[in-house]
Amino acid sequence: MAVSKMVGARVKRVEDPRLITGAGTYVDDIRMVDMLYGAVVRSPIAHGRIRRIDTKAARERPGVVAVYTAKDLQFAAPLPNAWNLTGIRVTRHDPLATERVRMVGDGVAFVVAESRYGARDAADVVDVDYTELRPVSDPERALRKGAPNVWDNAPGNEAYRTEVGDRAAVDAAFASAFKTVSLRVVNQRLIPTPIETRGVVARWDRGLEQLTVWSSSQIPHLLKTNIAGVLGLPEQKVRVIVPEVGGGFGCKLNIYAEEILAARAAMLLNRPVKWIEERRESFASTIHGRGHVHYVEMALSREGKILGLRNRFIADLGAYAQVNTEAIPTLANLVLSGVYDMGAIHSELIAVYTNLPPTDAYRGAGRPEGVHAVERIIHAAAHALDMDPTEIRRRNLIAKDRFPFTAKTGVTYDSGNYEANLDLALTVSKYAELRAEQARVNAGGTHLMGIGVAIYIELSGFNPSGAGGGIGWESGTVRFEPTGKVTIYTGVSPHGQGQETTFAQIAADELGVPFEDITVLHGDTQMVQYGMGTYGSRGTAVGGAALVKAIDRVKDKAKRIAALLLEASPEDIVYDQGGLYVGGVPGRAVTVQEVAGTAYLHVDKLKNEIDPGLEATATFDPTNFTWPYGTYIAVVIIDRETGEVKLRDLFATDDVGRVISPLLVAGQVHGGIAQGVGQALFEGARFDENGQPLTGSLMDYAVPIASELPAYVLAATETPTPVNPLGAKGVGEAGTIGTTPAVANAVVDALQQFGIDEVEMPITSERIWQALRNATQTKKGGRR
Amino acid sequence: MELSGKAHISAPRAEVWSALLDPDVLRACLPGCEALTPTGPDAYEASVVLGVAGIKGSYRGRVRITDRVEESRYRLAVEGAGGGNRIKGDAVIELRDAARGGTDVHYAGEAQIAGTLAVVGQRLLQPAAKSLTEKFFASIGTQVRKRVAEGRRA
Repeated sequence: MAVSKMVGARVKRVEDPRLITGAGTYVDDIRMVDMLYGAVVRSPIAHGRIRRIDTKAARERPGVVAVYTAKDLQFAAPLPNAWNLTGIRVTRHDPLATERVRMVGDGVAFVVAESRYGARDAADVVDVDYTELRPVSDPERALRKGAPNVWDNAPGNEAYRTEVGDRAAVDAAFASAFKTVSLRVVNQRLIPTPIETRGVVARWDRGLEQLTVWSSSQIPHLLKTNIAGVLGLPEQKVRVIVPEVGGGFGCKLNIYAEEILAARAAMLLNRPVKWIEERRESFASTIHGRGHVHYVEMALSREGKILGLRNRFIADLGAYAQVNTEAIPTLANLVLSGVYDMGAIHSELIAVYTNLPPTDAYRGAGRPEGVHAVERIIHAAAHALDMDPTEIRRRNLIAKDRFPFTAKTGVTYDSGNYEANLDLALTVSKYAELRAEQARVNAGGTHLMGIGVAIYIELSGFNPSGAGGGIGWESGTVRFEPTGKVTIYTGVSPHGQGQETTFAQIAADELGVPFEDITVLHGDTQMVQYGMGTYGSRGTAVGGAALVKAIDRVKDKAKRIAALLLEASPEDIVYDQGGLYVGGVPGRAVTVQEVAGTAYLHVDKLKNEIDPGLEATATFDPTNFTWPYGTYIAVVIIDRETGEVKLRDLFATDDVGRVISPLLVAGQVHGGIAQGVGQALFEGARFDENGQPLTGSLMDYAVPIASELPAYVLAATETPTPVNPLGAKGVGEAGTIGTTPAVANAVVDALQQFGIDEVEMPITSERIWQALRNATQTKKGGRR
Repeated sequence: MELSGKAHISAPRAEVWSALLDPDVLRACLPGCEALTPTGPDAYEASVVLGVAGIKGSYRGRVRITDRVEESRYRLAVEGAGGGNRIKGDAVIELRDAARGGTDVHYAGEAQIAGTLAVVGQRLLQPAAKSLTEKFFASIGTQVRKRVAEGRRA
């Protein structure tokens, strides 16, 4: 192994100069001669039958080239739902609604015009006549008797029901408990809000009969396969190119109607078609995240040992099963043991259809919801037992010598040293001093101080193919060019994660080639071997592992070539920092650059014993998920009079396994924290009883801005995973998962002296004010 | 969205009643009204251009009057659409002699809004609707007084 120089060093992202100087190319930067623009006509109502669509006025507008409705377009298949893990009542999702609309924003027609504004204006005059049907816009109401049915084949709106754990064991634990606690915890709907909305450009090459689709996506290859499937094209005639992507967070891990519509229109019209999603459109027609209601209970011994965890939760799938809609809530079940050795666990998940946008993967995807329920209920348990929230956690942590640890949820944790991580967090945050300060502040005065603790666990490194779905592997290719420069092709599709940097760091060390001599390419299906893309904190943990395997293979070949050149046996060749020499005789050496030149341009020296070229491809399919974890501590200050809440401190102590690039890990944690705070204090997609969005734009949907966030204090422990050769666990979602419960616990920690045990998220000043007011009024009434 | 209130018009109840049901008066008084065509007894087709909450659009719709009790009360049902927006409303209009003379018009209704208006304008819809209603009754008042004055001259 080479001496580590780049791995672990604070290397700046090679992606950034082009992105921050405006030299990056996003989908909307692509311009073509003869290009047309598409706009989708969307349903303004949440539920209804389409009586008639009159496109005449739109077609007659200047510059309008075509107006398509469902009956004008033929497809070989509807939009895909990838999983079928749960016996879900599958729903048909057509690119355009055929006879019924099921949510505000459902597409009913696609207008194509010479200009973007021309298309948009024409979309406004498409006259759609609906018979309105009663909608349902709340998952719990959707399950009630008499609720309108979103789908005829899912009576009662139940999409599926699934469970983990042992119900009888949990019942026994509760029967013998010293104390039990229960909470209703709403994990509200969130809107992913990447800075770059979705966008597509599609071009049909009539001569080659080839379709090229540029899309702001996280999954170029899967998109290619699915576009071919839906359009009925031979897959080798479809090329997907993912240029720069301005944020995904899971919402671009999907196959969307507009990708299909733009492609079909381009084929029919023989001209390139561009569609760029508007921000308001994005709020309605891109997937949402979360949307759970958890009823969680915990049974405890006198000493604070967790005897049992009982959970029942309702997951709002929305109106359609998008690619991962079905699978996401099931992930919540897999993290319910947290970092704790629990006596028994049982959890039941009921997934329901509503007349709202589909939910799907959003940063954390199922894991934040599960972790939040556990971390909220353990906070309530600490309060009920009058224990410090860090102490009750410590008493239940899985000890470091018990890994691999199989939890009562059925999953096996790879590695961990949770107590060391908790200890570091307490030191870094000066926890004891914080508690002393809290006692002083809360003794009287105008403000309340709360300290929230959460220890998250997540399953990352998606995913062992055997764990379901069969698509968890990843690929990497390392190619030496004849001049000794290196091109890496990765099947992951980084869109902010920075693998152009981290993979070059890994390759620089492993190959002994200068960092600047390495370029990492991705995102073009005609250039890169098949791969799965970027999601589920898998880029480095799975894609990086595939890269390491490819590097090993290319080094083996380099050794064989060097052996020929040096007239030695390959086993005697040592590859050390870019030089290959005969073991024990460092004088007999060649550089890897010389080997590369030989491999392509002096193949006579290979004597027909070795094939020309110096490159290798490898795949990696993990045997297990990786299980990062971390202790998050939040401090909030609340104004007693107004309920205004301010997040004063956030201490994040993560263990994401081996760290390749500390700067990039910190960047991921920073971004994750912002989104975690967003859920705790600011964000929430709200709808009225008619399914109309009440937070339909950035005027009403509050994404946190820098001035609302404190300077974070980051710390780290490093416990490598045995699951992959890098030892890296993944960090993409960590910050989001740990932050939300830490902040929510901090608020409750400040308010529990008034008998308040839960404040629904987003925890706004209004909600705190209301909770305080209710609490003091109940108190005055004399009885709770 | 609920919308209710009271407007005072300094004219006798009979005058106000006939003005409120006169297409010409309504055409003149409805903010942004471009056309109001009777399609049957107590039924009209209307076309309106309005800018609410920064969203300007033209709307076409149907207006129906039911439950009519002469000079006293009626129910107004409105259904309109335009520019991707849909509006559905239902209101009861009641006329009472005001203690200080003239007529009090009480109105109580509910409207459902869908589309861009709902998505972007939610927060601004209520005050906008209130202001439009006030504008409407103010100009009804002007029209009625004008008619009364013209009637006297005639």
